[in-house]
Amino acid sequence: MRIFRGPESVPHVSEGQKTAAVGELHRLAGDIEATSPGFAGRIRSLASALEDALPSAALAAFVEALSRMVRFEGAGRDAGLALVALPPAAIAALGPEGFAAWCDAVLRIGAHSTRGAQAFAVGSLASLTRAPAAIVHLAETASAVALLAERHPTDPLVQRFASAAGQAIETRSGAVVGAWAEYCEAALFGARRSGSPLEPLPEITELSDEVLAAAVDLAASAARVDRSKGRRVFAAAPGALAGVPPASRDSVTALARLLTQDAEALLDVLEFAGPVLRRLDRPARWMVVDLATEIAGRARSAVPRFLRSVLRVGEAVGFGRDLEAFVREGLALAEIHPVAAEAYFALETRGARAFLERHDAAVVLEDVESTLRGYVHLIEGARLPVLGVEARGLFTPLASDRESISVGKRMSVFPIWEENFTLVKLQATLAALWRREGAFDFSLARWLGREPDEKDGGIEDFFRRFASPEAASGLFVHFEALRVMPKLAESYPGLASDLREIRERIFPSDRVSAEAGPLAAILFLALGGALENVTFAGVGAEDVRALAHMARGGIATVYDSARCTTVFSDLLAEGSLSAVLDLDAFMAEDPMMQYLLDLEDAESAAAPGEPKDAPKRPDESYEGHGERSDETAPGIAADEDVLRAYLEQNPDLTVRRSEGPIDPNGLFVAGLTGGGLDGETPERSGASPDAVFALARMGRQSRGVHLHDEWDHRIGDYRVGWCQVHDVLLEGDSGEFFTSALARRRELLPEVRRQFQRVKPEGYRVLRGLLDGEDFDLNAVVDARADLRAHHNPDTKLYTERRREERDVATLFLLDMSASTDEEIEAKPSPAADDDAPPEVASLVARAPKEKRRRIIDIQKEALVIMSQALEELGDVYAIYGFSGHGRNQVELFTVKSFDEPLNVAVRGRIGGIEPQRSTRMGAALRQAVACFRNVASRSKHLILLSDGFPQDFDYGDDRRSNVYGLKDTAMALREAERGGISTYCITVDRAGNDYLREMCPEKRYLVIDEIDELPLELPKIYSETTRRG
Amino acid sequence: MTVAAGAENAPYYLPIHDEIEIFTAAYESRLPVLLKGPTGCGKTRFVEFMAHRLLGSVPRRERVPPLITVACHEDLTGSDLVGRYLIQGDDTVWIDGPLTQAVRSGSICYLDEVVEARKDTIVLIHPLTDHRRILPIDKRGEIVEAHPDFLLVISYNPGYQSVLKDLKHSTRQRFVSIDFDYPPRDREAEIVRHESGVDADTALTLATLGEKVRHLRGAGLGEGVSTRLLVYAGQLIARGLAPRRACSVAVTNSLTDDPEMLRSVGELVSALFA
Repeated sequence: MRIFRGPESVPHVSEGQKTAAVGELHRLAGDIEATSPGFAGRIRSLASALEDALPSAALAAFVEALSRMVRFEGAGRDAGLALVALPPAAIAALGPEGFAAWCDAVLRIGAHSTRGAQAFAVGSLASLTRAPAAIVHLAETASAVALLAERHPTDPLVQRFASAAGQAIETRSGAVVGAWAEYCEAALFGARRSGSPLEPLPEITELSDEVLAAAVDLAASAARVDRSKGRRVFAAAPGALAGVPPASRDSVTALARLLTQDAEALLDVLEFAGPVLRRLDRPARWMVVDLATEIAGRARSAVPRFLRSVLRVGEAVGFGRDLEAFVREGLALAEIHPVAAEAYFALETRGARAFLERHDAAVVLEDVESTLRGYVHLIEGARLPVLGVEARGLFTPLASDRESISVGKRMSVFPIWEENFTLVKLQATLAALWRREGAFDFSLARWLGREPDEKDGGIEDFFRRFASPEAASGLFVHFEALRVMPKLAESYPGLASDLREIRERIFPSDRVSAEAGPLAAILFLALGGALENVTFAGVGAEDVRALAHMARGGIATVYDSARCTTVFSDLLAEGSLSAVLDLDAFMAEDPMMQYLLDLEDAESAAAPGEPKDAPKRPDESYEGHGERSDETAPGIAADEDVLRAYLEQNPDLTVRRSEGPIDPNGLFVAGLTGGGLDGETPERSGASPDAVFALARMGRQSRGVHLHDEWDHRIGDYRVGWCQVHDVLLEGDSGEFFTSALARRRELLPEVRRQFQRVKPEGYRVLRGLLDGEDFDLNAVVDARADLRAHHNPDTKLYTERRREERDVATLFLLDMSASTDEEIEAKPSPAADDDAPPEVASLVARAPKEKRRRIIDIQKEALVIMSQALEELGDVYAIYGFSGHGRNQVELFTVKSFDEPLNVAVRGRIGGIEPQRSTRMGAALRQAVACFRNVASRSKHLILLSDGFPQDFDYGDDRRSNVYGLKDTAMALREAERGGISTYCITVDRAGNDYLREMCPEKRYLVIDEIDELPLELPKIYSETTRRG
Repeated sequence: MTVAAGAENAPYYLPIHDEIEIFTAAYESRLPVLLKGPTGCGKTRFVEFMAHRLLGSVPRRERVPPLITVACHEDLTGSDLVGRYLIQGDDTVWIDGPLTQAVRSGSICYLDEVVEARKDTIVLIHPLTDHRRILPIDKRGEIVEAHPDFLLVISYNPGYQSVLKDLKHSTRQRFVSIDFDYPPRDREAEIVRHESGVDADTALTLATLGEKVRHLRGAGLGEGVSTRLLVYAGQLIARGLAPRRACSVAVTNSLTDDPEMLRSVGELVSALFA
């Protein structure tokens, strides 16, 4: 009797076999009756139930398995119980082979660990009953578990792993479990603190067994180097690989395998590979992974940086030969120093930036903004802000008001920078022309034929009336461009002739045929094409021609453009336009026409039932786009569009992991998180003086942030925009320090004055050998007389004259306000404590709290007090700045006295307010100090640096203890100052200063002061020495 | 040092306002004249034109031209203007300076950019500019009375001179002041056309360039471009140089060294000229 339909292969078996099997069951029950009567009873009752329910072959296999388990010393109980609990249907499904394989697997583990075998038996039996096909994974899985059990027979983790492995065979192959076992062994076993949880295999169904096994294998390799990092890789790798496009997963794994020695790099690479590769089309993906693999072979740590920046680099230079050249250049640097390659691939060095600039055809507004602003000022006579917007096709949307000029943020339509710039210039010129030509005078009420009233709508309201406002706005700017083009050609014939070049890029031979359709004609005319070169055809063609005619006659108004916009928006909505416009033909001729596809996209977006903003899962849309670009546009030129489309459509991509120092040059990350350029890091936009970031610390207000490059001697290049120097106004006291210091050091002043008397020019300088002058030069006269007597021609330059000498010196004192200046100096009887001090001075001194505890900085301040007092008398221009900071993004330059401030109460107070702060990042401070000289016209400029030790900051070079990096950077900053015509002088009160100052400063331009107390006297001496030639 | 207006050919000058009438009236009363205006707007040309118009037909003594121009600089001394003793052979001889020459012969003496000169020269001209009309020469102990035709004209550019080099009120208030500025576009186009020989269209474009560049006056470009530079550019164009190149060398590069500004003006030039 067959109740269950067994597998077809199950042969009909005789009743005799069945009886034998049942008999075997009873015998088994008898065997264990003594030790576990309950179990025996269950077997007996099972025997009668199964006899009816199962075909005899299945029954025989089951009995065989049960008896093997029961016989299996110690381990058999749990496995047996699990077997007994199996429903008849499952037993039938598993079949004889299944039981045989299962038993083999369990016993194989059991050879090394009975507990492991039991756990595996229970786990795998559950899996097998759910998925009988998993039987093929049994043997391999079991051998992996057995291997583990053999090596770690006593570890309790084996049991847990065996159980998990048994469950895993339901979905994963033995190879995966094998890798997992290796990972567990490396990461968990033998740890001093046991009890670490066993991490389950990640459930990511879209990963194939091979990829998952490879991912787990990566974690195992990493764990062999460092357990905890291995665990992080285990947690991150499978998910990260799932984010990588399927075709590239193998190569990314191979790349990652090269990095297992450096888990941080590995994690970074895994994290970025997906987001980056998804944004690329297939050939570019191959190339990027290949290049990354090549880099991994020579500079492991540079790979993540390369991946982070590759989108930006690719956008600039394309994914072709130039990208390869970029990588070659970086690899050549790796030969010099690994750090050099890291910095290069992170685009931190000037070399890398220069490479991009050399190869980038895109016009980035940031770079040309001031040129454009000047240009608009020139043509319009008004200072208008130039704003970057996303261009629609070649043109930018009409600005919201007439008080600004909008141009494309980044235009890379054409392969040559100059052509892209012409386009941007056209955008700016059009925006300027629209201001005059009434584009902003549009009144919706008038358009609708109503009387204009207060609630009169503008052009934006007009666009909103369309199914797709974007498409309408895009069309409108094209018509507006077309409308003012005759004016442009008249006013700016040069620009008009330049337009011809970019027009010919799109329309070879500068003509538009009838087949191209009206959209092409519009574009052609909007780019200044001649009306005669257009053959009109198709719907709407007449409207375009009429507009062009009116424009030429100078009678077209903004309403005519609006009318055409209406006509064509309707055509787009009807869908009749794409038939008119043979895009494919254009695409084949010139990939630049890609942008017209945008118009078509806008059309489809306007169609009902297909909402444009429907949320899409990032992965789907990546793949979708990637494929489309592969099929429709084989050329490289389309890549950038696709790339941009990705970035725009997926603002929800964020970076999950931000451990370690935040890398400001992970710019593409910034672009992703912030959704485009607006989210760029402050460093990038910080170059503009408007960017003011408040310093939360100590309530000080940063008045502006300046970016400075920093010299890295290891890479032999500057790191671009590396330091943020904050301009901070120092808060001062009410001047008591100044007054008391002056009193304390009053005996110095006459001496300093004497010093300065010598510096000060006598007022006049005698010039000799003049043709005419105030007095005879007697020597010359005698010579002339002698010459005459000797019948020679006498020299006629017989006069002398006194000329007024003018001293023209500007000096900046840059004071180190690092924490080390807080150091106390040995107490010395203060001269001001003398009894003969006038009573008011004595009282002032007594009130000065600093008197008790005199620090290096107090002496430095005193020196500045004396200097500034004396300089006021000398009349030289001078400024005082202090610097300190913490880290490269927080260098602070404190303004004590700027060049154009007099020595007023506020300045006196600020000198008193100088207090020790934090670190000493000298290079950045020097560069900013040099920038302070910008508006100083003096003939001779000097910078005197007062410090108390070597340059130092926590991130001033990799190694905190080594100060080589800081020294080299400071030396470079000093050299830059000298090149800029500013002579520098370094004074330090550090007795060890001789060594490094010699290295850092120009020869004979430094001084080490042994006795700090002498600084107030020495400083004026040095000043008069250095500035004497001024 | 001296430039003479030839008696035969009248210099070209296109009046913008009533400056000819004012100057004529001032000359008739022998009132010294101060010409104020930016560089290259036609002050010197105007004086040349007026000298020719007023004195061109007057017979000249000792071939002294009707106009004597002195370009003042910071090392210009009183002796440079008045004259000095020079050694000639075995003797020292007195040589009249340009100012003395003009005073004696009845020419118009034009001191260009007078504030540039050293202070002693300014004092020197004071007695010449009031009712006394005398020139004391202390080295010779001589006082020269001005010829009835003599007139002192000075020019002064309020734009770029620093505060330090301002004209003292005691000097300033001795002169009739005529303000000059760059001509309006059509006038300037006419001047450029006449002076350089380019066609009217190019001249107009050059004038447009001038007008637009002057938008930047005070915003980094000091005074904007002078008519003189536009004429230079026109002359280069008339000689066959490509207009963009001509404007670049004659206008853009001469205006400023600021790279940003250079680029902006360069873009304007390329927008205007094909």
